[in-house]
Amino acid sequence: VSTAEVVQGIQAAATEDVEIWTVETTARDVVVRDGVVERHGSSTHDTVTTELLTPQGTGFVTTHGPADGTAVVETARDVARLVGSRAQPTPVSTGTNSLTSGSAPHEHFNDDDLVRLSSQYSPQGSDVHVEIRAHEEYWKVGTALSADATRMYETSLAEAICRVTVEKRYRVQLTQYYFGRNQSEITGLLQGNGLSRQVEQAYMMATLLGSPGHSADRVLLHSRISTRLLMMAMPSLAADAVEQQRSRLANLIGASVASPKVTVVENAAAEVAPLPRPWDDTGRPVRDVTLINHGTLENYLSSPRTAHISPVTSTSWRGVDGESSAIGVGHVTCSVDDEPERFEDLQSPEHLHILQANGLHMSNDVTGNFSFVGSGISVKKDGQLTSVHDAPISGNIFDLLKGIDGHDGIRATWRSGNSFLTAPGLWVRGLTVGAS
Amino acid sequence: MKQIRDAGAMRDFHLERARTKLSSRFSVGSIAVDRGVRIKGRWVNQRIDSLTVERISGHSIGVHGEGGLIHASSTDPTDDLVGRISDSENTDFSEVAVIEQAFSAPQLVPLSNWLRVADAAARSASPSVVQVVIDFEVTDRHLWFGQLTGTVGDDSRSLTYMILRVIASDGSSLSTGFFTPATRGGIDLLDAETCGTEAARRSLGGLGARSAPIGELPVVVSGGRGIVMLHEACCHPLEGDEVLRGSTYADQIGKPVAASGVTIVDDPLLENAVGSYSFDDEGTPARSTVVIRDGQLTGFLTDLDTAARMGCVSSGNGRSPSALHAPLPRMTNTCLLPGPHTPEELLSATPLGLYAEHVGGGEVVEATGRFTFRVTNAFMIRDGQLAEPVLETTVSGHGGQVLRDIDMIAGDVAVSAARCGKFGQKVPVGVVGPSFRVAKLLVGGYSE
Repeated sequence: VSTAEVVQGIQAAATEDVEIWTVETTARDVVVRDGVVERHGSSTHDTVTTELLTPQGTGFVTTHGPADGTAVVETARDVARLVGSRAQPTPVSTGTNSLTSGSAPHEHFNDDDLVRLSSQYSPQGSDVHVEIRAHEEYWKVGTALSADATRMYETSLAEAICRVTVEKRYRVQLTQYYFGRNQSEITGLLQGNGLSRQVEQAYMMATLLGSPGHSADRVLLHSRISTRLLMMAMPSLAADAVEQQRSRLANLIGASVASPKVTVVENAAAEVAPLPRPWDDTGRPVRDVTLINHGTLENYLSSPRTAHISPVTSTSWRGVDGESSAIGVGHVTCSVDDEPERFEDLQSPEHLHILQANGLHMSNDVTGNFSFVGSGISVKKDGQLTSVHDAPISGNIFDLLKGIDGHDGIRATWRSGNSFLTAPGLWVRGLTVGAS
Repeated sequence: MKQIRDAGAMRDFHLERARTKLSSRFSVGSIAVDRGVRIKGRWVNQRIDSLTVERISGHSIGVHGEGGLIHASSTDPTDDLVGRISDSENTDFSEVAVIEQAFSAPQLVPLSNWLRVADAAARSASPSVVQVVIDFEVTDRHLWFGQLTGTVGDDSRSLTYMILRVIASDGSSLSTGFFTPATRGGIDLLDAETCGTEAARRSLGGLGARSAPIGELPVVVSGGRGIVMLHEACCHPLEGDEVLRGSTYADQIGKPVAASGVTIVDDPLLENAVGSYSFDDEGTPARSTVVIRDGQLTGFLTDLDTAARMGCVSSGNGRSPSALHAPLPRMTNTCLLPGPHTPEELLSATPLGLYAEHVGGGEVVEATGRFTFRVTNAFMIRDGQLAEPVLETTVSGHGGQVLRDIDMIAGDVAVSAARCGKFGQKVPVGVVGPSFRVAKLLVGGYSE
């Protein structure tokens, strides 16, 4: 077996696009628990990727650091060596077509802010403990397609993982991820009512008497759960999954696939997108791509390889280490019509607010069946509040899309690799909720 | 001008600077230099669908002081990390030239052949096999370590990790067979035909599967991969950072936490297990740690940071995916020691139960010990024998209770692998041990 055979389909790529993609990343981390700083981290991480974008879907990528001219040449040589003599990609010309995504200037988390935030709910001897793991990334990205100019942009991301532990009648641990473009946004979220609401929820779960059974037909999934569930549906919206018959949503353009209240839009540069990116990772400018419009499937996530399936070709992204680009989510926003219905404002009997999901998983993309063990708060017919602990919950993601009948207006974002999804808490029907 | 010609010299250079500039402020700390090549991608539709060849390059320093751990890392070999920590960055790098040789070139032909043979073996098992998907990773890394205390060392970290998914259809139902062979070594250590055949067997065995039953059942967990359950359910709360946060085992040293006969060892010294190493990622020499001996809690897993805070010596469990990440206390190879029974005895002693052949990912809430994990390939046990297959299901419980409910352990020790995620860092972990039975676990969609 020759090298050329190994990389079947690649040789033709000598006449296809070659992309040089570079990113210089600086990152900082701070971990604070109950008002004490436990660790600081800082990292600079440069990556150079050279990829052949082939119609067969096979690409070669090499990554290096630092992202200097030498590395660009070496990655190009690596690719040339791997694909044989017919393909000799050369570094493309650099240009001046630069753009900044509009991120705020690079700024760091302030230790004092985090110390104050984590300690205000957990004074010494308290039964409430708050841990904040703050992380920030600052990217300088260059993407160059052959025979094209280099496009440059800068972007940033900040996130905080907040873990609240309460020891009362029950021991409860509630974890939430907060995402923004910079530390100011995160600090604002936490100082607003994000952290206080999280502590309050954990406290209620820890203090309310547990209920052994739940028969709620209507369930409110907290946005920290609804976003994870919706993210699991995204692979089915990828045009390559449609092409390879791995999608339950194949051949359904124009069909109803969700509740008429639901609209899903991809745009990595959206106003609410953490790590906003004006170009996708194959150098195509991003824009609003309406995937589901009031329940009707309008578009798939796509790339030039799958343009025959869906014409929108600017939704290819690399992995966190610069891996070969793949069709996926940059940033998706899910919105639901109607006024928000807050859990605490409702008068209707027998509803359940799932606040925590443990072990959330989907068996495979085709069936869409998922299950997890959920905890939260339940309202009985007589209005009594009880806590719910570790109730097995199962459902189907495609049925869930159709069963969305409201929202609570409290948005959260979930991150998977370099993909982000923002959605509110969702009122849904059709979940199987077992007893704990 | 000083010339640095290899990674070992780079380690020595940074270590010398760290000792000079940081020893007065920090007594505990380590340097790591990381080099290597990683090939990863996906095989689908009988060809390589995507492929990444990654040249790994990074170095880091971590120090522990009154302000906790300070960690700095970079892919740029001339980045002055010691200066970054001591607030005197880039003071004397102008006189240094790094002329290090690149790591060896990746070899793709053996990998491609392996994938082709595994695919063919799976497809030849039955016409019902409709798709073979293999996610692959072949990594060849070398790390050089140095500690402020004087210890230096280096370690090779080869890894071959395959995730085979074979999809079968009988026209009315679909089934996916999972198999995750892996080794701390080259691809030649895994037999492609055997792996493809095994994944196909699991897939074909799942055709016609029905929903899992509901409620608490005895569960017989197969050896090897099934030890993921103990990894998730019982061992995460033994990691030093979780102990410091008051995990369920925080004050249980010396106390009974499991059924008698249960002995669990974290052992990074096993040959070819994917969690093995000679030094952890902070340069602490590897050693095995008995965490539970005959049902009694005997140890925790620590890195330099948590050991310093706990007032003990690191157990050598500081791990990170690369030098670019700050190490955390992590498991290496979680080993359940064998018991007196045969696998057949476990089944025959179970009138009605679940046989978990392949265990997928799991999750545990360390503060409470509650865990959930996926059983991706499973069968019912009826009248002491394997019966019909069941669809992928969830099994959940409380880690502490599971340890007490292990009532039979077989002697069929198998070595398998998994990937463990913690605060966004994924590392390969070995799961090693025999089949065992848990008297009851919550199985399926819901309980009555």
